Amino acid sequence: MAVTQALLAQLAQMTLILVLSPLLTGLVRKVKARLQRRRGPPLLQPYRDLRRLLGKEAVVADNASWLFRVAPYFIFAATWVAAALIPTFAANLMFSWLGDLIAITALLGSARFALALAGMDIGTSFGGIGSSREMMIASLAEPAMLMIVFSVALIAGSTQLSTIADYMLSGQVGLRVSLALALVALVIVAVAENGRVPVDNPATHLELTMVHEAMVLEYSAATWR
Amino acid sequence: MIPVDGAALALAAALAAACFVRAFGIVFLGRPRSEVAAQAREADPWSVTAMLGFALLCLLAGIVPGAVIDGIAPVAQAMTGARLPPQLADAWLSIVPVAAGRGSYNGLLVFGFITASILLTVLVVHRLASRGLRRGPAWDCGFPDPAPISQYSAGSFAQPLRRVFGRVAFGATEAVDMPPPGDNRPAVIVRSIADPVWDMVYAPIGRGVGWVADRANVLQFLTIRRYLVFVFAALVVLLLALTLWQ
Repeated sequence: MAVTQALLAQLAQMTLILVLSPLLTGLVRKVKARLQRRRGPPLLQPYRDLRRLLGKEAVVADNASWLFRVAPYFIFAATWVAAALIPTFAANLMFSWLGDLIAITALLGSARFALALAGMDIGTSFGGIGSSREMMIASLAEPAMLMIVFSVALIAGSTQLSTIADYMLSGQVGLRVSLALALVALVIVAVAENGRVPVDNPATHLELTMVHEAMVLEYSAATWR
Repeated sequence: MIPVDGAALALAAALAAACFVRAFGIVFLGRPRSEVAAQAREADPWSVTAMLGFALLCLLAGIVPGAVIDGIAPVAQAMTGARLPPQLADAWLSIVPVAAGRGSYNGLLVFGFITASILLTVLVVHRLASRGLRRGPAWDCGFPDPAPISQYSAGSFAQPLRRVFGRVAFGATEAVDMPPPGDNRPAVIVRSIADPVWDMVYAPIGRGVGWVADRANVLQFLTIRRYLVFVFAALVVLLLALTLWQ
């Protein structure tokens, strides 16, 4: 019974992340638009985009290899598993002991590796631009990410996210300068990893600032074949 | 010390990932960059199987890391005098370097988890997505260049990394060599990279040896009288040293 309950909690969390993440994208776009005194798209626009993309016919370049087809599934799965290892609404989830923060960083790193390879698959100059820039950003952001992980782990005595969450909730942490600095660093790393404005711009089609957009330029729609 | 080690390891891993993307991407992906490459064929099944065997071993080492850790433990013991606790005894093939509360990793279950997620995604996309698929030329933002040379090369892939790390670590410089008007040469980017270990360690030693050799070279061109004086003086000095020493 306990196992079933734990499994259900885990599945509920994974589904919740999946269902809510387009909403976050919509929220970010909305906030960005409002800050620029625009009205912006509605919050639910990413869901409509997803539905539209699912219904579209996929155009795949002539020389695309199997890697081009497989990479999106792997990237999605690795990111999803990384999200599943993070306790969002319940700590001590069933699979939380599978991997710690280092494993999560590694999963995101593998996803990026596959993305960079997929960007180079078609053999256009844009794909190469995106991949080489992405690997450069990764080589700067990943060490910083692990430094943050270790500075938190040194305080909590564990890299296991559930243990860290328990420790932080226990109230024996107090005021720590290193945690504040880690938070600032995490925000900077998050901006870089999520491809946001000073590093990358998800809404651009200008070569100077394209990183992620350049890598996924040849993808037109979801296809299962 | 641990955070610095971890960050150095992460930097090494990220640079290695960039290196592998570059090596695999430039060699195997993209359009063929030469006539010969365009006619490349897959090797015979035996060669492919041999490579697949190595790939499988890599995958196995990642899925069952406990066996690898236990396997190299005697070497670690011999070299450092310490070793990780035995890992294969843990339940579900987990690896637990220190204690369960400090961090654990289970390669087998993470692999299974990722595989299950991929299968689930494929299933859902299969159910929901359209089946339309069309092959066409690459889009490339509307300006596909038919010349394969417009693709990224190994040098251009490395350029951002070289600009970030190379300038400090290797003294890498770039300059555009622009020919003057009327000159038909193409403009080229001239790169130069220095090896700091060579410049700081080996080159000074080499210069020192050269300096000593230059000074000693004078000894080869003396008169016979001076050689005899040297022999005599050396004998006197040695005998004197022997007397004093006793």
